[in-house]
Amino acid sequence: MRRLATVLFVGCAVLARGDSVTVPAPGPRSNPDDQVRFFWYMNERFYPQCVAAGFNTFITFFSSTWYFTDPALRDQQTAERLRFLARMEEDGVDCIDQVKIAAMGGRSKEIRKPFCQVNRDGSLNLGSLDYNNPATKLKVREMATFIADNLKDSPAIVGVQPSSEIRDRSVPSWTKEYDDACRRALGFSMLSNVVKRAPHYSCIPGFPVSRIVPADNQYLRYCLWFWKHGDGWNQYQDDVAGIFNERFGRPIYSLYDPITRTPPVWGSGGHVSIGNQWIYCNPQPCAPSFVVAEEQAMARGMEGMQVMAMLQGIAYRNRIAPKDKAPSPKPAWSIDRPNARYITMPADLLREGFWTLASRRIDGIGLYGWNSIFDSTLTGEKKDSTGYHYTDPTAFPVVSNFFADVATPLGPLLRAVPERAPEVAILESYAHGFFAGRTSFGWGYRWGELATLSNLQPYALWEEEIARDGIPQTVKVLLMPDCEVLTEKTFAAVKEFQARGGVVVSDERLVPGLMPDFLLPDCILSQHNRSASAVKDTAAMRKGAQELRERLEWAYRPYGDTDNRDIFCHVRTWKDGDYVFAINDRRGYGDYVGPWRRIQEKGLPCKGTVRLRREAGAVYDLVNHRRVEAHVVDGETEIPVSYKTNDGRIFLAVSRPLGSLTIRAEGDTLSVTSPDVDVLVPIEIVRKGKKPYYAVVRDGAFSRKLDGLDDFSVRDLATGDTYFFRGSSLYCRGSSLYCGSDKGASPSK
Amino acid sequence: MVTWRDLLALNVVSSLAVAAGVAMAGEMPADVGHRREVARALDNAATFESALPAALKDDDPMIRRYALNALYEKDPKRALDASKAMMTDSSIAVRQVAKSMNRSGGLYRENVARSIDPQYDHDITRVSTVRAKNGVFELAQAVPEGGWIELWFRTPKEDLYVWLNGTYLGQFDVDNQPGQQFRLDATAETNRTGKNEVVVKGASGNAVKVGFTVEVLK
Repeated sequence: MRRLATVLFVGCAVLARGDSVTVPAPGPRSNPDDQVRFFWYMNERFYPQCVAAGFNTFITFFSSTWYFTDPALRDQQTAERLRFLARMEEDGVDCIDQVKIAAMGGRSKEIRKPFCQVNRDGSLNLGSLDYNNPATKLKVREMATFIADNLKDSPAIVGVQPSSEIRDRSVPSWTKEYDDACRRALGFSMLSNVVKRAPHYSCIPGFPVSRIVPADNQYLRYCLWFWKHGDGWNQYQDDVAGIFNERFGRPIYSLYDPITRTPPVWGSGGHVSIGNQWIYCNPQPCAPSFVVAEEQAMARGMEGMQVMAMLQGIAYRNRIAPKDKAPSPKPAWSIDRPNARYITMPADLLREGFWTLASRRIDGIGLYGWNSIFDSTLTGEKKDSTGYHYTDPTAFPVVSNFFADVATPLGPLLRAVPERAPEVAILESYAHGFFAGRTSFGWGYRWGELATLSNLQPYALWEEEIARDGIPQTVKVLLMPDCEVLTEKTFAAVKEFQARGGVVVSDERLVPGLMPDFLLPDCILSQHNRSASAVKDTAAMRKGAQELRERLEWAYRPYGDTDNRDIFCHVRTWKDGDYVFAINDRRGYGDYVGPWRRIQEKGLPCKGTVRLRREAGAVYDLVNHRRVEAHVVDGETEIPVSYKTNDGRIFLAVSRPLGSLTIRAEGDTLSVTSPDVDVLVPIEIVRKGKKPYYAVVRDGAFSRKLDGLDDFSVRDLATGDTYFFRGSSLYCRGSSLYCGSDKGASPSK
Repeated sequence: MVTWRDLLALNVVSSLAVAAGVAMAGEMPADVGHRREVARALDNAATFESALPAALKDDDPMIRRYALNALYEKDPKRALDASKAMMTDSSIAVRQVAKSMNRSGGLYRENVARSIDPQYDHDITRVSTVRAKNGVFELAQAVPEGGWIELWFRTPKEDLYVWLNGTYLGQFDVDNQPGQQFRLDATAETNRTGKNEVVVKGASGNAVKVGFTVEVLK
């Protein structure tokens, strides 16, 4: 650990010199193996409930407005912040500070005028600072230094978020500095007809009929440069993170979101330690799956970057319960909070969304929107105000239960189990994004949702990854929506992929030099062309999923599958252990926003069978901690599942029943060994008077220095076997009954 | 950085199953087989010519477009001839490729409105003016003999590309024409007796809402 700290500190020193190095995010201080469970901005009044629910990290703001406008308020707010940080430290939770320098001056636009980008007509772009302007760099350094110096004595601060959502309004700045930077990087002046994308290819004289763009195309190079370096925002992230590391004198990791709100190119967020992306669970709570796949695609090009994902606890009211289309009778919340613009995300959608996030390998999961999750009228908000409102009191209990049952006890496991090697990929093209305009921009394609619901567990494959590594040899099916324009390398790679027998599925706009095997089903409903009936939209997606699977049947069957289109699954694998996430997506109209008929927000019962293309000797339910019924039929393992609502199951399938754990406590060191060296076994360590500690036995061993080992127990979270110790002696052992016991083990002598 | 190779190394069971997956593959559907067969024939120089005529007339639009593109790669002049007939193909996928060939690779049209043509040194009279609503307009009065029709976009602040009734009219380059009026001659493309629809796109290729006036001049 000390060695790691030394390495990290060397990293800080490098950053202080202005180089860009990713400072690794070590995981929560309370348990470095655990996932980060964070609340993105929190009012202190509701902070205790969040800590009790299992949130171990909070993102908080330091407003830059105070810095300029009101020194007295600034000092008062800083003192408040430090007090709150001390409270976090006492509770053993971490804080990531968002400095908000990018919003320099907040609404006081006069303050940021000297630092803004310049539009083509010479006017100021007040929506974005110009980080190519030396004066801006100086001001940012001054502010970041001030903020860091005010906060550096708080050990609760482990990370910095230099900014959030800042590139939406960034454009090329018509300044000499920007043009000089362009000339230095590319050898030519900034292109006059490019804002953030090239002109549509149909408007470019001489654009290849094949729509295959060579790497030296000026537009392509310019757009890539803009998104990677040109507007300076990625460098800004590195600089602010570097200043924090320099001033704190200890490793401070950095975070940026939304990390994939860019065309599909590497480099977003500079060298941040963590990329985060937020996701709305409406209309499809399975959406987080492919959004995370896109974040993973970004991370594969960013050495050392970890991935977190966050659900929005808010929902745009005008999309799911429009104010001007009131049903009869009106739900009580819409009378109580008549002007709410952002209402609580329906509880059951949040539940399914969190289950979907759990299925993907990420380093942290988060939630946003405290004032829609908690009653902000208790902090002075008026019930008739616009903005965020607390309209579904069942949402936070759902999150809390998910954390208690799944995210907290299995946090280290969820972080440890890798994704499977990809077999189905969705190709995302930056060339298409630049020349034809449509890319996901981090929202996940509807195709991603369709592929998720089809159990294809799609991998996001970006053109830069293809250029670097080719199309993974394990990929058998390539979905190519929106590939109207491609780079030469991608085109050649897809040709080669087809030559080796790979299946290409596309829309009809695919570049004409590629022959798709068949077209994607025509069922995709964008945010803008959904019907007013959620039932129809859901049916269209189900039909599309069925059609896609039927069309693929001759060539590909997924490793994990379900016999009911309402249940989707995702499998992660570590050696012999398959970790199967089976999630129920069956929903109907509830009484919260159901009366509007825009989304089906109420989870419904469902049952079916999960199939795994292997012979498993034993299957365990990792949430209920017991072995469950499973059958091997024709070389495949069938696991029956049933749900009362739209939640999930996590099964561990292994080739033989798991063996017993061996536990040894010597002084303050706890060692746990397992005969199953090819399985990641989740364990729970309970010590008297302490919070439970969760871990994973990897390669057959786990060892950690822990206090309180004079009276403790260790529970195998797969089998449910519990080992009770007093001193260093095992004094009893309990076990779950096969397929029978209630949750938890009863110890027996 | 974890690559797919690292993942595969951890998927011991998976790699066996991948092999099993190949073994489980069923029979290729006829339409997929046909597409693959035609693509192979067109990709092969020895069979290209014999496969081309049928491919250009295949029932499957994805084959027709592939064939047209393959021809263009080999012989742009022949492809241009073939594309004429395919400009009205029933499939947008085919029309898209055919049209891109007939743009000679680019979308650009010289369109100089007479009212701002420095070489047009005559007096001009405004006969009538119509303000378009949501891009749609109808002429208020007949066009007199010797008259012409212009679309007037005042002074745009961004690049614009304009279509009238599906025909490309012209473009405005904000850098090369800063502060200038943007006028397009639309005499030939305007429907004199009914509705006319104008589509305006910005540099991104997305449709943009821009107000304009239709003037009949003489």
